[in-house]
Amino acid sequence: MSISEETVDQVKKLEADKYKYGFVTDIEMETAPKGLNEDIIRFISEKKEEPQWMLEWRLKAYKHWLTMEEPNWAKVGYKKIDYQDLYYYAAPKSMDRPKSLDEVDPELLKTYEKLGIPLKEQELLSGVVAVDAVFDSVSVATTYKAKLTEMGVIFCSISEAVREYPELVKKYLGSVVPHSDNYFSALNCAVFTDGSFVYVPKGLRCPMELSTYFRINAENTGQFERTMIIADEGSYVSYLEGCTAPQRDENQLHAAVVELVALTNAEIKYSTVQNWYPGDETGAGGIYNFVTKRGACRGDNSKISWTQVETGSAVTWKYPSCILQGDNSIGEFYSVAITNNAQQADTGTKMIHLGKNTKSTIISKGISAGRADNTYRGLVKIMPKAEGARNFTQCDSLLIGNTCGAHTVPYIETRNPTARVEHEATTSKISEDQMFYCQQRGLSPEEAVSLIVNGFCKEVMKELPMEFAVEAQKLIGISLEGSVG
Amino acid sequence: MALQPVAKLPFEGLIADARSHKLGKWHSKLSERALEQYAEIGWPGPKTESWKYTSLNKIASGTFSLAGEYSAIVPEDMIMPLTCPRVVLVNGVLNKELSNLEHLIGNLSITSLVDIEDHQKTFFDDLFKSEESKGDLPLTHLNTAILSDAVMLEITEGSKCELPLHIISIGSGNGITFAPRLIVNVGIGAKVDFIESHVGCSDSAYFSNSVTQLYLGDNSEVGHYKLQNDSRESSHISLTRAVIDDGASYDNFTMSVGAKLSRNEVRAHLKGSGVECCINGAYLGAADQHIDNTTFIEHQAEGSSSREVFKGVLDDTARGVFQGKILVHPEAQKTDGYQMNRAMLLSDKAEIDSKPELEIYADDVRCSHGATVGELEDELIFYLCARGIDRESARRMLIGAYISDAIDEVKNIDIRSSIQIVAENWLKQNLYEK
Repeated sequence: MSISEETVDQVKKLEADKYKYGFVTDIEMETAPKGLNEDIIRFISEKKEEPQWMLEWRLKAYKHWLTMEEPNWAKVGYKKIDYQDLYYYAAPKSMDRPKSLDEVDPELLKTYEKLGIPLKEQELLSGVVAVDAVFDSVSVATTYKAKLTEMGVIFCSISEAVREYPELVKKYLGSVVPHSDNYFSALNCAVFTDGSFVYVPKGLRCPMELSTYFRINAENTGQFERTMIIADEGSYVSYLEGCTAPQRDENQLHAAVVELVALTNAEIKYSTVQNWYPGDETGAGGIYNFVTKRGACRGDNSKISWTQVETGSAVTWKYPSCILQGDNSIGEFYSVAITNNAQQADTGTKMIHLGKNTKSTIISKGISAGRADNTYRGLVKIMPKAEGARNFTQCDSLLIGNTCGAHTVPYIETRNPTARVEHEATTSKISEDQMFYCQQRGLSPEEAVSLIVNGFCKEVMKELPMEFAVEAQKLIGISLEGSVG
Repeated sequence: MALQPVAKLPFEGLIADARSHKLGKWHSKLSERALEQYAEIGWPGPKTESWKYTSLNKIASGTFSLAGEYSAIVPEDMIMPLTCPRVVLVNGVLNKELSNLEHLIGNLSITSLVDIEDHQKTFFDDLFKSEESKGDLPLTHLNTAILSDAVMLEITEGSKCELPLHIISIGSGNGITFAPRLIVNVGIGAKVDFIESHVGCSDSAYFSNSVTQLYLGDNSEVGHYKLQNDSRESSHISLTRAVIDDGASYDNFTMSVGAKLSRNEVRAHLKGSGVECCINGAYLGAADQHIDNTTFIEHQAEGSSSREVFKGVLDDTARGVFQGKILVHPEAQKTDGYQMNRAMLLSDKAEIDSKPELEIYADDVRCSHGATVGELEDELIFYLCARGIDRESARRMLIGAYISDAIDEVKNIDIRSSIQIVAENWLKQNLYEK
């Protein structure tokens, strides 16, 4: 059969779709000199107009970081990172704290349009998502701010929060992920440049989804954002996070820290669609995504739920965790991790049960194709005082092709006899029967795989807020393109 | 920053002593090589991933001497209750007087390293060499470096052994260390069941560092059962390594009830295809016992299946560890792997740490693992009480049944019932009548 026009079109579409976020926005950037030392940290702190205590905290973290070693226990291999060859500060030049969207560089706004972020406040539109957009390292604009402020919700960039709400920041910053926690989080503490800050007051159910889009644009920059969400007593908030980066040959570092605090009866739902540039088929380029995410259920009956769809990044090292301190508190972790080509992902969660009758659920779906390696690594720890603690874990892996790997490394530590801990894991492949069934009904192999994989991930996808679910489903299809046939 | 002082290598001093032993010059060379490897890897510390949950600090800091001349009697009430031919080792050395080998059939031979002729040495040399360059087994190298004897069982091609063979390793003496070494070579199509009973003379406190190597020829059938009932103040660290060829079947079960600190590590390398491999076990711990079961199953070829079932009951401040890893190579398509670890905690100070691990590189496989932890469920007790059974009997019944579930995995019926007896006795002594 000769190559039909349709096929040619199909291929063209594939090329274009492969990584549609791989564009570079050409705007003037202001960067600090390459490298990391105390002066750079002082520079960042000064740029951000930070108070003295913040600078001291950064320096303390930096000093501690110098004594630490890069962790090597994860099942990932990557070129050694030269921390002195990175820019630690890159900000779009034209905007020194924009007062309104009109002051924002139009190039930037165009970028966000391409990303599909409803950045312009058009209240007539049905958009119910408030967005804080972080471009490279600086928060560009926060939408729906007025409406949120009216209700007492603080949703702003973290540098603004440091200036405007120092008491809140001081109280919670580093209380979940201390500066000495791990290598990448210590680095983040020292050099973080921006991120989002959310505070939901007592008893308020935040009426809209809060969302942040992160984008790395400049070359050779590391993105070190820091997100903090505090849900005061009896409140509820749902937060979405999306990430993209342009296509580049060299690897870029992303080392973020996310801290969540849920007080008595509060609930935080944190969803991530991570679609950093994964590198090309040969494994060149892509983002190193080394992220520390942790939530503390401080109060009784509080709940933290992590949902993540991880399709991007060359190397992922990420373990969103819950510390269940309050009695009856609940931790949840729903994850889909897809690796294709030369991608590597080592991801999972930690559930630390401290309070009585604490419950945790872990559902992890790993899909591996091409020459990728996909590892679930998780810890469930039941401490002696966690009477009646309950955990259920399910880790399923799907392999597409025989050049990839799927691994499961759960750690289960139980120190209380009343605890009930269950762990299940399976590994399987897409069966020929399933493929045949779909193809017989007219689906192409690509579509069939996408359909089957979406079915495999359904338990996790249904946890995503509507706004993300559609995008995530499409992403899964795109990530696996070229993995069959 | 100042350089850290080089950590002292435990037992290094004893290795030189071991060389002057009666195994002579031949062992000296072997021992030197083993020491080199042992020194290179070093003693497993808290940062060694495979020893994460089991600390060997107490052994490393203890003072031990090499076991000397010894005599002992077989502690009949501690070994597996079975009537069959026996091979008895005292502190790792074959003791012919205590052994009873009259019923052995001709096609099963037992050789002690002490007795081997010169021409057999090359064979043993090769055998030990095959164990070298195992980068993650420092204690196996230590075993080779200090061993005072080794026993080899050979079953010739096609022969079927009706009676099982009972290997009894007795530890006798305080503050001593010894290194039992067993080599089992099973010919093509042969069939054999053997049992290892590791026991100690009452109130002896020793460190037994035991290694068992097995080679299973094509289509052979081997049952390998072990009872670890070392004396309560002792440490028992053991490694079983089985290399399994095409179509062979290997049934392994370990019952761990003794020692203060024990580790039962089983590594099965499924070299051939169509292999059936079972690695099961049960553990019972009370007082301050620490029981570690670590398994590693490597599927190297297509179409093999492996099964693992481990169950444990822990009381007082006992701590259980289960680490199980299944590795499936890209060539090992159509692998079927199953793994389950269940533990029951009876006291609020008991602890269980599990780490079931899958590492899979082939796509057409079915692998699953599971782990559960819980206490004795009130509902089950209520069910039995509602039927007129008193609470204590109900409790005993349920604990007994819980452990039996794992013991039922043993394929040899006689041995299964002996293990059952051991478990019942232990429960009686440590739980019911304490």
